[in-house]
Amino acid sequence: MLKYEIKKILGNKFVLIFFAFMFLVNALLSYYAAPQARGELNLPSQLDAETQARVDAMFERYEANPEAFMADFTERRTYKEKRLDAMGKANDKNMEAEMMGEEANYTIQDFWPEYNDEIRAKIDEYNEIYKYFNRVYSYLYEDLPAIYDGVISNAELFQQEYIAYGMSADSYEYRYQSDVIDIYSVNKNLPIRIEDRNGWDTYFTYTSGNICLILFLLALVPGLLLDEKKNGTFPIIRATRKGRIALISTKYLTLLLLSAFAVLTFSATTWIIFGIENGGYSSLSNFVQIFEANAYCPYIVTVGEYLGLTLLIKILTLFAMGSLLLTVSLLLKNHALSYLSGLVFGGANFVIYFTGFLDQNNPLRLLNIFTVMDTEVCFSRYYAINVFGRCLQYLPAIFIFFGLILVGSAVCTAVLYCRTPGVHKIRLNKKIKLSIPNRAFPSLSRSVGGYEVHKHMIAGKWILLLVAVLLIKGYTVQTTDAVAYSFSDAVYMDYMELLEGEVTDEKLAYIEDERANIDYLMSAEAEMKEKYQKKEITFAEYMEFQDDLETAKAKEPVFATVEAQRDHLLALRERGIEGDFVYVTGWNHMFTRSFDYILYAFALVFGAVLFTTEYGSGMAGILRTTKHGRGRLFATKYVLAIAVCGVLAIIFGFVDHMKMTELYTFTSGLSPVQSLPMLSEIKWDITINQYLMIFETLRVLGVILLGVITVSVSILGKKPVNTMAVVALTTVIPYVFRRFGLGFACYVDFTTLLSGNEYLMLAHGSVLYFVLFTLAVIGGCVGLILWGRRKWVKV
Amino acid sequence: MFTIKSLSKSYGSNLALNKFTYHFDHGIYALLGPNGSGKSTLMNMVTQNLKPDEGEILLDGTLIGKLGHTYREKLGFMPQYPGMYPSFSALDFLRYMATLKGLNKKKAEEQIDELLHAVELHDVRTHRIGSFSGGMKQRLALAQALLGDPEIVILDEPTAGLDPKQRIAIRNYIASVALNKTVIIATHVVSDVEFIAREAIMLKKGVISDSGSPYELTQKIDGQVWQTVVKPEEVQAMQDKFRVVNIQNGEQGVILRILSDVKPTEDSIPVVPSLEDYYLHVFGDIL
Repeated sequence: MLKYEIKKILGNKFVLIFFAFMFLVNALLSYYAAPQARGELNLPSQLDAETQARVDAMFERYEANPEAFMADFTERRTYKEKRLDAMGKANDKNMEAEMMGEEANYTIQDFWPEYNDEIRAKIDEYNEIYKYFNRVYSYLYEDLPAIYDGVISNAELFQQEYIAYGMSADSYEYRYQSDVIDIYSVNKNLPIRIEDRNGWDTYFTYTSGNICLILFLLALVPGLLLDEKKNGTFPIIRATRKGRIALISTKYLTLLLLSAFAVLTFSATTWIIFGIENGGYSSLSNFVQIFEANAYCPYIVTVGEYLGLTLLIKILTLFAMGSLLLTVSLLLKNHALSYLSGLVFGGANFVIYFTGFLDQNNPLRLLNIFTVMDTEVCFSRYYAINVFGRCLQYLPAIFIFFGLILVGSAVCTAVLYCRTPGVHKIRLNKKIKLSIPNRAFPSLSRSVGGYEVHKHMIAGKWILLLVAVLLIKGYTVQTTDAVAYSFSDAVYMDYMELLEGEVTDEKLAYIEDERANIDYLMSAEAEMKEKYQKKEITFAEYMEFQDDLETAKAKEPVFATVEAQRDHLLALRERGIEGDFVYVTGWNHMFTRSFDYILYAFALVFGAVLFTTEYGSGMAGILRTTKHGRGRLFATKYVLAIAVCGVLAIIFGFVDHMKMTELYTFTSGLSPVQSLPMLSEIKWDITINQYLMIFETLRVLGVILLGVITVSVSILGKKPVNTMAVVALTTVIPYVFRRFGLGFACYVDFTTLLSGNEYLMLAHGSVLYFVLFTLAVIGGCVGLILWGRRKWVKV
Repeated sequence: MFTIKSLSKSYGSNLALNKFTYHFDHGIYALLGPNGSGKSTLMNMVTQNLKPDEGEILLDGTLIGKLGHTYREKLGFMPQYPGMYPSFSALDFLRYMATLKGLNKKKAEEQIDELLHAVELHDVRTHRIGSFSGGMKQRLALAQALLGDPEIVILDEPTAGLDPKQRIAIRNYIASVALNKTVIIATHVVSDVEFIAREAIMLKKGVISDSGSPYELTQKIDGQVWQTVVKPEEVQAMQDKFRVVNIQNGEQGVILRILSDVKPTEDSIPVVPSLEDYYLHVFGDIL
């Protein structure tokens, strides 16, 4: 049976093509990320072949005879330190001699007579080759113990504070610190082998492939059960001996195998590419803490075990998520809705993971599928989940949580799949029985438009999804924590309250005076200290100065920002633009909002079903033979798509706007838009408020156009799955590429229009570019509409 | 009135319809042929759901392409596998179709009420279509095709899935409304159209192999249809030797209806041929 299930999957062209595409995307992203990874971890560049060979030989000497090597290494190290010391002394003496007008010719040998060419050669070789050994050695024997000691002592301090504040030793917080002490006390004694570590640290930073895996899963799962309902084989299969429990078990096994296959092939591809780009991998048998990125790893595992756990966690997560999606698909009984639910679920997880608006210890964040599949999080430091006051370590929590999801959803799926459907009757007693009525909710309008609304929103239950989407939006907005008003921002706000508005000579003078004051305070510490020591000022005056000094030190970085803003405004003045001082924090957050993933997913799926339901239900042939079934119906469906997407986008924009005004302060809306440094390149003579209107309008327009494009493609594709795949790939893939550094993809990235500001910045602030870009996008949409019209309206 | 000239359509290398030419007046026209003979292809081209490779369709001398929605105002169509909206009620579905057909609301309500009674769905008119049986959906599909009193009615397998009583009722209803319409019924259930069709068109591999009134067609095999009674154990031998079109158990034995140029047995008697006999005579080699 397993063989046939796999054969069904291999016969599904959509799944195969999608897998191939995601595989390719993952490979490309790996290829791009591999050289970037070293920079992310502050690793030195790869060595040339000759140097690498010498370094390899050095490590081999160490492994062959550690004692002899260490003696040699220690000697070279000592030589280096002695030379540094001698050089320092010589330099000091030479400077002193110069000040005294004497001859300055002190050398190293004056302070270290034994220094000779042989010692110099050893030191040079140390600096060239042995430093790579020293990097590992000092990390393992100096830095790492200090790290653990620091963690342990901090934990002990926290515990003392908890007790001082009256917290119980049985509290979660106290237990957490106890765990930290226990774990890192053990880590201190780990027998980590010195080796030329390479490769694994960069490999484990790569997380982009998880998106590809999850997208593949979302595309694969709904068809596993729904294809048989759709093609009519479902009732036939269920009437066979093995067509229920045995079959659903086989389907689960298929899902597991496919999840494992996807994880292994994607991971292997990344491993190969990273290996080629980063010069191979070090051993699997050393402890994972050998890598600095994993210094705080709480688990005693080797690199090989870490790799195995990573793959296992990814497979389990995918399998559990697939199982959950299977249950949902059975409940929804509809391919399009199943894909939408997957996208919404995945999208919500992605938002939580990527935007980081939840605290890093929040369970929603820790047990988020993207976080879990980014297994580096699990192994980067100690995390625990609070379970009734007790600490459940993160790794076991993952297995328990996703295990429960898997088992729970598997049971639900099995029950849903195997039960015999029928009219659901509830019998209260022998005389009374209730049946779920067959009556349909009637249409409230008799127009073509009214029926379209009824058909899709009411009878098709899209209104429920609309409500669900609004609820999700409300929830995500509500759980967005305010960016706490930091001291820096509070100081900045104070400055802007003083300076807000047009640039005047008085304000410029104030800035100059403030700078002078700060500089004076920061340079006068020694002087004031001396005065205090000479009793020229009182203790109170000295402390007052100290307070002023501390304030100046705290304000200085912020004030530098204010000065930068002044310089920006002066530069604008030279361009003939009179900008204003504006408190930019809120505006920066407003205009850097990303596009709304939930809105995107809804527009995509809703647009995909308006025409495809007619093709799928067989009504297309009948509708097109009626008087209004071509031109008018065609136009009505577009109007519906535009109306629903537009209204939803406006609501979402309004909600975001309200939340923004709650979180941040917005002032100076009437100032020229170029007053905001991030928008200095805008070439229009408009205010910030006017720019805001254009920005919000573009975001709404983007969603509308997305809906229109999807509707048009659906007429050509005739199936919702094909439609969503085509539109999603053409609009999302460039965005993914941009996110991982391929900047040129911005020119074909539709999400720049959905986000608004990026689109305007792409236009380089030029009206001409903006008009051309917009016309091109709209022109493309019109072209698609006309093409779709030919298909539906014409014979 | 309604003319089709040299209509052809290919699907790749498969010539589904080959220079189909016919003139239709008012009345019922039966389009007979086995599966794959081109009936549905013709239906879809007449309803402008498919573009022909060549040929013309004219209504009162004007190409239907030029008439636009004026043509569709006069058209009623029931496809072979009619689609429905499961969550609509029957009443709402007909009202929806009436809206699409541009019917006046008052007239639409009258027609809907009449049609629902005619197809025996009035009692369940507020129920969800998703709860209907296959036969009920078929009757509802017929009702929507007749909504708006169209001049041209295209019915593709209208009685598929109906029980004998319903088939007769539908057949009689179609006959009653077809007086001043052109009704084209594509079917391979010959008995449904034999007594109501004005003309029958035999479509074989995309080509008209014969056409005429049922009487004219059956006359062509007059004297070639026989009835004979045999013992049960002789039935197989007779089937191997002759084209047996019907087997019936009788008091004296098994009654066989046979298509044959020659008298099958000594005691065989000639019977009046039916349109079904002629259908089997034409398409016997394909079936």
